[in-house]
Amino acid sequence: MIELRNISKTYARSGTKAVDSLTLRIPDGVIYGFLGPNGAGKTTTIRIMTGAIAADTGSVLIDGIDLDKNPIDAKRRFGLVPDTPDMFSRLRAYEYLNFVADVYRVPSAERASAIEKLAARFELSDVLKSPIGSMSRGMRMKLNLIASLIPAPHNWILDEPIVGLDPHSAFALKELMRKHAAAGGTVFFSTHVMEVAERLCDELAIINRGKLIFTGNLEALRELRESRGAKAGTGEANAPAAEASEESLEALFLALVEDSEEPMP
Amino acid sequence: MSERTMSPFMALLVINLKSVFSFHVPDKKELASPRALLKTFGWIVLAIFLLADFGALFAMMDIGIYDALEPLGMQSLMLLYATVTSSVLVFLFAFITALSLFSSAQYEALFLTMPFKPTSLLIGRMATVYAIEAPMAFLVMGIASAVYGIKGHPRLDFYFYMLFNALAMPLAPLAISYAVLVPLMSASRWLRRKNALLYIGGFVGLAIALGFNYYLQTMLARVKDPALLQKMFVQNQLNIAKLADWWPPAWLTMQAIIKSSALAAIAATLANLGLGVALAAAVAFLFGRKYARILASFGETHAVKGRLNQVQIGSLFRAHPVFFSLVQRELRLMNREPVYLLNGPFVILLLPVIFALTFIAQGDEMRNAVAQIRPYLTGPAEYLIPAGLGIFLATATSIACTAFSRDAKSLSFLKSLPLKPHHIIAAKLAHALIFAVLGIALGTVGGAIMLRTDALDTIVALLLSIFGALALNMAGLVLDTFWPRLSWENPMSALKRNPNAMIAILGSMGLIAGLGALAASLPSAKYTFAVLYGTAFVAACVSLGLLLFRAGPKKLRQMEP
Repeated sequence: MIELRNISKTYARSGTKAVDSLTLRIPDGVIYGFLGPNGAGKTTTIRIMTGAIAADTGSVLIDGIDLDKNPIDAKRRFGLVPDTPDMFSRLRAYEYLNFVADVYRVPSAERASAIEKLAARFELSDVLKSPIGSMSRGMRMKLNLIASLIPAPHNWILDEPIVGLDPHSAFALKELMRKHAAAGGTVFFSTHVMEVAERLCDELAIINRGKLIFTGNLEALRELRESRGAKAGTGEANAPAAEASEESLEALFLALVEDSEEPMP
Repeated sequence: MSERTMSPFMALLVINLKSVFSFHVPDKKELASPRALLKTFGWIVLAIFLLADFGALFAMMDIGIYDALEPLGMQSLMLLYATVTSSVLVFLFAFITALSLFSSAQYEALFLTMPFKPTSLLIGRMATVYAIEAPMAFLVMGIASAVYGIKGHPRLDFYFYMLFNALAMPLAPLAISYAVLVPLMSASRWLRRKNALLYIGGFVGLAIALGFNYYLQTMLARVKDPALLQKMFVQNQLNIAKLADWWPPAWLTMQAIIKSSALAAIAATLANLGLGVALAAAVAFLFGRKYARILASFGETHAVKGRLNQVQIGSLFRAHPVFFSLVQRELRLMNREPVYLLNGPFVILLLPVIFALTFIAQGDEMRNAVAQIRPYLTGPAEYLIPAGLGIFLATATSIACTAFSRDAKSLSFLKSLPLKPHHIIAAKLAHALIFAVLGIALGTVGGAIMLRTDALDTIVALLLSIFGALALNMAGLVLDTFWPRLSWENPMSALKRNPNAMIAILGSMGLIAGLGALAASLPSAKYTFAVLYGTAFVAACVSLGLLLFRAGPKKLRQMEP
């Protein structure tokens, strides 16, 4: 379980308030989607949540452990897939995986077994000795996915994980996410693609300009759509159900974002 | 109303130049900030210093040669010498620049998708190289013109011929460089890799820099002896003339300068310009398509494929202690990045080589200098000089003072891992100290051998250099922990253009010189300074250690890459 309590962050250099009084509770056993347009504050939130940067106010609890007060124990409780798979391009794939496994103190036999299975699943078994710099973006993303799962974390945090993945790997990732949640773990992932969130998430949060503009499950989002549709009298009820649902959820996402950008009266 | 736009080819030239000379001229508003003002002032001072430094060296040589040859009536040989020197320097410069610019071929490949002819792309690139090498020809020829003008009072048209021949001089080397490099790059996939080019360019560049250093040292030693210069020029006169005869741009330049007929001089100058332009155009037309194909295939990578068997998996994926793994990561990331390796750890080997070359080039003069100062190498100097050499080499790698800056791209991820901040800091310090040991071995032990220091003084020097190097590396790491440069696009910015590296190198040089001067000026018992400086270094290590491992972790948590 991950909890964010009243998190705020203003970047000193630009003076931009990237995250504004954000409170979230991500329970165990669910896939939690974190949505927002580009620059909404998703990556900043994840960087705060994982200890990469410090929040100005508020606290982060990972399985009840305060990230600020007990960072090592808290960080042991999650695995992170960062949004930029370009780091460590001078290392070979197996060197990078070994480094991560060493940091999480994964014994030799366990890491070898985990890497073998995950590499086979993401079709990276043949390139483990390759320099990361010679890999495509998608391959690097898959390598980061494998690295994040080596320590078998309870909480799995993924920043835009679908970007750059081929359909086969995207399917394998979604399967793994479902399996992880079904086993009682937490999956928290960011995306700006509504369709992915809709097909995958049990719960979701939408953020814009650093502020939370929606939180709840898909049912609540659909209810919100229907109530708005009824108010606006769009007559969408006549459209084929699946198509209408797909189109209007995306439209609702855009409407929510637009509403949040309207200046205060 | 029609809007005036730049032609596509001009736009290509401008973007090529801007991408190489990434100068930013600050406007009035920006200059209102004291930091921007100081930075601009620093750049101007550096440019003036570099220009004055090289200008003074060439002026000293030209004046020495002119004065030595004037009594023999052979002073015009100074111009021949400057022409040949300029030709050789421009040739080397053009080759290494053309080679280095291939390393940005991956970005240049974007132009292939735009409506440019392959020939235009090559001409655009050649124009960039010309813009880089032409100032070198102007500097050497300009100084020779000024010296000859002041001393020999030639006709006014002399300056005109010198100027236009200096303009022509870089063209032929440029054309030949591309005529060699394009087929070579086209034939070898290995060469079409950024890493390979960075290493080759780095080593060839170093070799040229060392060769240039050797040449300058040799000439400066000879310039001080007019009789030697006269002998050298009289004996080598034919060889210099042969070299000028063999290289048409140099021959045409000399014809333009020495011909008494204005018509012949103008014809030689035009022929020189025409030859250069024709060669460059011929290369562009002949190799344009090949050049475009190089751009298209540059940096093609292929993953090393091969399924691992159980035994290989077992041997590759073995657990190590976290600290070992952190230090190993530091070593791999630095040693595998050509820019970091060549400007970091490699400096430990490079500086002694430069020193050895200076010693060889200035042979007798250096031996005399050492013999002259030997009587003064008594007392503290006997151990302080080897210690100073060791400390300098041990801190010249810039490893500690750029440790967090180099890690900027992976710092977010690193901070998300369950790592104790002081382990990260300690690993970075250990990385710097591994190479510091090599620096001490070469500097202190090598220095002691060269100065024939006795065993006791060598041990004292070793102890001082160990604590001194530790203190200065810690100071460098403190600098980069508290003021890291985390915003950059090119790894070069994290090391070569990092103010922390400059501060650390100049700081250590200043400190070593200051402590040496203090020991030389204060009369005291021989080992007083060993105790004094040793205590100061240990105290500095303790203080910096406390700062680094107490305040450093907090600073690391606050870092926002």
